[in-house]
Amino acid sequence: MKGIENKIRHLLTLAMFLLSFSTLFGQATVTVWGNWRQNVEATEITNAGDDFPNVYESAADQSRLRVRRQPTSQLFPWRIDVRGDIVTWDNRLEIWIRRTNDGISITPGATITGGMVYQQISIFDQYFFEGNGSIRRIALQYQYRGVSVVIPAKTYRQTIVYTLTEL
Amino acid sequence: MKKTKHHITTLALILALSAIVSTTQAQVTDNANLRLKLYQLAFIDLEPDNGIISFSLAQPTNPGLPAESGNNNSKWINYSCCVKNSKPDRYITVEINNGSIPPGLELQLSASSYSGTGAGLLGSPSGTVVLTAIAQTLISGIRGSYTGNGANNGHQLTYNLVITDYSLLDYDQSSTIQVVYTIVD
Repeated sequence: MKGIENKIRHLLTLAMFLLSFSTLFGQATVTVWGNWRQNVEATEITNAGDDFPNVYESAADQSRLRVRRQPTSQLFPWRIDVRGDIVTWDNRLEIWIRRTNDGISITPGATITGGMVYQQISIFDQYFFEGNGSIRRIALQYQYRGVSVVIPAKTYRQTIVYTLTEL
Repeated sequence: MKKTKHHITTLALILALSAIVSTTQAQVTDNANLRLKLYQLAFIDLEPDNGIISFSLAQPTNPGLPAESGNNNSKWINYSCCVKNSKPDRYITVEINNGSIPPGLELQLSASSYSGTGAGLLGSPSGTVVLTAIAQTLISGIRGSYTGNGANNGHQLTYNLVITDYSLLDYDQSSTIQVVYTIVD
């Protein structure tokens, strides 16, 4: 009987230890700033018979992303996946994304790789880039491709979802 | 008592496992919102230019034959159109805005079917119209589309100057008219 009680006590102790460890060291978080609004107006066309420019590109740092975990001195491997949740869309339109800088290291020796070449965002999570340690001001740039007058005039929206996974 | 201990054991295991999971495989998300707004537009022009077209009645090749009437197909109509789904089709009308056709003559106009480098839901010609001061539909059924820019893109326009009444013709009479094309939404 005492043996069982001891086991329970040990399990509870382990659970409390791990939970307080998790609280103390914190969960890594991803935070994104910066949305993108692009208007395509009649002035985009100078000659009747022409189409809209098919590609529109955002500023190089249209969104800024931060990966951080307490304590920030600690290196920890992570990965960012990206997907687009459709609010209002037309299948002929595409959103592409890339990373345009390495951000600013919060953790000494932090590293980041991947994501520097434009990739198309789909409705499914897909690998974007990965790193080690806390980093801020990772700049992200977007493109709309497939813009055309043949697509009905309307406001199209997508929510770009960034998912951080600790590895 | 045994049941309570069993529940506590299960709870402890769940706590331990969830703590392990939370320290090894945390997953969090954040969002950015993207918005693209396409505005309606309708542009139209004539290619290669909107310069003057001249017609003259040529002498018959033999006495007793009718005079040769004039025709011209040097102009093309180009357009770009972006429309909301909820809006009706657009169409192109033509009318004489200034001047009048000399007596005994009429000016007919027709548009070809679309050809060129454009795309989308382009319009269809409505057949030959006799130009008057009243706007008449020349091309209809236009939705989101573009014809391509320049001659050989869009709809080729063919003008025919036709003699309708020889008795009204006046040798010295000439006239300049202005023809206006409008894309209507």
